[in-house]
Formats: sequence, structure tokens, C-alpha cells
Amino acid sequence: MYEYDYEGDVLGTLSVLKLLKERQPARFESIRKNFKTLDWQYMEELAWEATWELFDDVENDFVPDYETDVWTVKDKAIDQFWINIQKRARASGSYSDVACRELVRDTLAYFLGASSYTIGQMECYMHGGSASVKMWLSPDIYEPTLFGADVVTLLRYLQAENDKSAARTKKRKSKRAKIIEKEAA
Amino acid sequence: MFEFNVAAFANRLANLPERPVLAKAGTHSRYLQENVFDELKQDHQVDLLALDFDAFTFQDLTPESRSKSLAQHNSAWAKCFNRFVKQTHATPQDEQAFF
Repeated sequence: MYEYDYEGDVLGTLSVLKLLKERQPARFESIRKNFKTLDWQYMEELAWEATWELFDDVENDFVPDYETDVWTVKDKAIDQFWINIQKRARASGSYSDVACRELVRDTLAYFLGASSYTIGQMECYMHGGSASVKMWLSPDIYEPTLFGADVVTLLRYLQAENDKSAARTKKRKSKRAKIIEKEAA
Repeated sequence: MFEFNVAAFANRLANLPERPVLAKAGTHSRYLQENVFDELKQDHQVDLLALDFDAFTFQDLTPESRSKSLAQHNSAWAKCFNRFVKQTHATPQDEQAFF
């Protein structure tokens, strides 16, 4: 598209930075000032660091037995998605806690494994209206730009789904309010 | 026992919502071409502080290969799902079934 051999890596990095600017402007500025330039020497490190900054809350640990990192992330987009899934299931009359959890887990797994083998294993933990995602990284695969692009697609998808849910709720409330108004009149 | 209603099934199929596109085909951004890729081709560094992130869209940042790879990924998940579904009963059961 841009007649550049490694354009996928560059575009992945830029998409992470662009979403970071939208979601976490202060962190975006900090990363930009830290790295200053986009060049091959530090591009993977830039993509890696910026990707994890996309999430609201991130914790990182090292697992000696597996010689790999474990990252636990929390984000309001994932929380809201989990809440919306439960609401829809209850409204349909066929609520199953296990099915809702599996749906959230499958959605995250679908996107986070779309083009990269960075994640070796993933688990989701839900409590009330919040969700946290624990990711065990593959010990011998490091694809920060591809992984970053997958995270961008995930977060944008979740935001779009949450926005659609909010629009549906608003429409229903407005309809209900009109009916009540009509009945009162 | 429930009977399979062909007409109802066909009607449902005909009225399926449009499948959401996860990654639209990428578009070319002149801004990115001139300020990023032409610079990188000449082994120059791209100044992140000067780069205007509002001058291009996410669609400009989608490589051509991405929509193809997502379509393949989608197909792989559908095949995996089909494999699970084949193991389930065709008619509703009174017990829970797990894949």
C-alpha cells in the first residue's frame, strides 16, 4: 500500500499510538516524549510499551516455572462489555452465568489471537460488574507490532459494541417514556 | 418433539443482519506516505513529536493483508465451532450439554 517492505510493523505501531492518543492522552504524550522518533532500532519496544498503556490498569509479573511474563489487565471497555452481555442474556430470558463468561472470554481470545502468537494462555475473571484478563505470554514468541494491532482491533470492537448497546438502551427508554406520556395524556 | 420448519429457517436466513466487518480494506494516506514511509525509505527517523496523529484514520493504518488474515481467522473459528456443534444433539434436550 505504501510500497515499503515492513509497512505492517510501522502501521501496527502507529495504530497503537493513535488509539493511545484517544484513550490515554497523558500516557501518549509521555511515550512520545520518551521515544521521540519512530525508527527501527526501538520500534518493537515502542509498540510493546504503548500497547500495554492502552489498558486502564495493568500489572506485570514473571513466572519462573514457565520463564514467561504474566500480564493482568483491566479496562472499562471490557467491564462494560461484560455488563452488556449479562443484560442482553437476562433480557432474552435465557441467562447463564457460565455462558456469559465464556462469551466474553471467547471474544477476547478471538481478537487477541487474530494475527499473533504472543499470548500462550488467557483467563478472564469476573466479579460483579468488573472483569480482569490474565495473559500468559508465549515464552519464545515476541511480535509486539502484530499484537498491538490485535489489541487495537479488540478495544475498538468493544467500544463499538458498547456504543451500540448504549444506543439501544437509550432508544428503548425514549420509547417507554413516550408510551407513558401518551397514557398519562 | 419439535419439527424443523423450513420456511421459518429460510426466513431467518434471509433476514440475517449484515455481518460486521472487523477491518475494512485499508486506504492510502498521502500524509503517511510523505511524512512516514518516504522518510523511512531514505533511512531517516520520523519525528513522533511533529507527526499529526489526526491527519490519518485507522483505515489508513490497515495494511492490505489485515482484512485477508482476519477473514481467514474468522473462517478458522467458524470451522472450530462447527466441529463442536456436530457433537450436539439436533433437538433440544432436557439436560445441559457441554462441548
